[in-house]
Amino acid sequence: MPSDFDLLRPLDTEPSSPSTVDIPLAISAARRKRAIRGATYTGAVTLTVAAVTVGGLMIRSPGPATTPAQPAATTTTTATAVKAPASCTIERLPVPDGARAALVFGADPTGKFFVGRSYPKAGGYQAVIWHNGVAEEVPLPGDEEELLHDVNTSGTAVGWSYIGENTPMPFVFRDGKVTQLPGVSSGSAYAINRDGKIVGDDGAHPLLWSSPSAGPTQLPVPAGTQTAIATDIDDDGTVIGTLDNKVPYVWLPDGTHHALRLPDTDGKRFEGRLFHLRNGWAVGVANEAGGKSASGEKKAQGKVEAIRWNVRTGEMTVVGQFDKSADAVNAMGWQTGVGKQGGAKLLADEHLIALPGLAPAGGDRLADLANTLSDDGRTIGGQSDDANDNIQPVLWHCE
Amino acid sequence: MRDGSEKEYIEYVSARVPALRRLAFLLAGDDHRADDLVQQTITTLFLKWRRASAAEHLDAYVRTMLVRSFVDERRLSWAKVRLFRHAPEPPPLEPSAVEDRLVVRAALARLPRRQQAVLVLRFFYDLPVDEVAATLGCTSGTVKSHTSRGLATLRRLLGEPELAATI
Repeated sequence: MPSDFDLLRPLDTEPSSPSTVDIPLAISAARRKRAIRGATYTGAVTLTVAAVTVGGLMIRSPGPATTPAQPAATTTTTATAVKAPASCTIERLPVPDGARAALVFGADPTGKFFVGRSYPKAGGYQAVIWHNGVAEEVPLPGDEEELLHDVNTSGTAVGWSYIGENTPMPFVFRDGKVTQLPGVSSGSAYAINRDGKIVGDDGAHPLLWSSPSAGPTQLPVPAGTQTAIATDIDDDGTVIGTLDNKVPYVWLPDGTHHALRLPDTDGKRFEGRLFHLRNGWAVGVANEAGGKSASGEKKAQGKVEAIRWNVRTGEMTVVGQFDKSADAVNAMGWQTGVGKQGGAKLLADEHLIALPGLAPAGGDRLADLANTLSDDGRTIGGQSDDANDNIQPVLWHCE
Repeated sequence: MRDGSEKEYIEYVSARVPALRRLAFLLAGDDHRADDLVQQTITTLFLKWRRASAAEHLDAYVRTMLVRSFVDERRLSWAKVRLFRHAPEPPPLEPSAVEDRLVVRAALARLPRRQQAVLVLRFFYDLPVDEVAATLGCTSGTVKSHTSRGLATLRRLLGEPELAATI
């Protein structure tokens, strides 16, 4: 029996390639960080929507039965019958400051503003906004992880940045200025609507800021709820979110709130998570609830479905065309996601349109992701791996 | 930073890069990730140089920065947003097909990051429990439990099932 010391001894102790550590680069990166660094705060860690989304999407499962998508039932905005595009082309967006990679995470419904982040050469993260084909770095305070999540038609963007070891803070970017959202000692902002209302969380409670300068209101949750987040807000003020990472929930403009329906196949219990909302259409995922002992990924090793809800009628549709993904939804109820065989897809009513990548995807089912979808279904934002395997921010134009 | 202390910083870092790369490589098991860790560490060090250079044990201070960067899973969460292109589980072990070092490396990579860091610091750097605890910002008791759990798992993964149960 080898001793504890001998056990690890065979490990290589020397890197085999020459050092790429660059001291002048460290100095210049540090100077830049110092220049954009803001005040420091304290608080607690929280769960990000991105991580939740991933939790749902990472899970592997057998394919569910196919149910065709239904046309819009009721609408408040002009979502008249639009013909599905025949095909889409890809356009690479500029990456600011020569960063090696970047991605588009959110967009306004008209497809004019896009937000996300880049991965600067010096390491770390940099929030970015794109408008008219120009990329601009948004200096969120903090030199740790950051992301702009969403932007509205006026170009007001929201997101979060870690300003301390485990402290995310919600921020809004408006008229060239970054402001911290008031009323929380830690938290995140995930979405903003046409009127500038913002939703997010403080690590435990779902929050609604009625404007970028107003203090937040806690959205009501049923007794016994441990943690809840609000993930998106519609132009009419409807908010969606998830309770305890398993109950899809909606807060309606009339002040009522309730859980959304989940699949009830074979009498099995399901759990669901909501990600995006537009014009009454909400998208998310649902998985079979496991036994008491199982948790997390294990718990969800059963069936995982992509789901679309009409939050006004309560109608629920299993989206069989997608592989457990709900990346975006528009005013017509069209969706983007990852197809059953991999690759980014647009689902426009019953039409499934493939979105080409910058480079052949090879074996990577997730090389291309369509994270945003305009109301007219013509402009999609997201990310695509280039030939060197670097994530690039892209738009797809569909005709 | 004034010229004098910048010069000190450059001298210190230049001298320490080889040692930091070794530590980063032991932890990360990958040249590129190791260099990323070192780059990240020395960038932060520049920002904190005035305070750090006054530290009684500067090497330990810098080592702590690097180890904490490694164990801090959240720093890697961009990889999740980038959307789980690589499965989170490392590939299964194939002891017969590869050299010892690769087997041990693969086994180590299957442990939680904190356990990896504890094992490397204790058994490669011969650091005492309390110093590992200070480096990771946890209690000595936690270091001990990480050590025993990490070793047990490692022995099991390396094909010593009968021993795993006794630890």
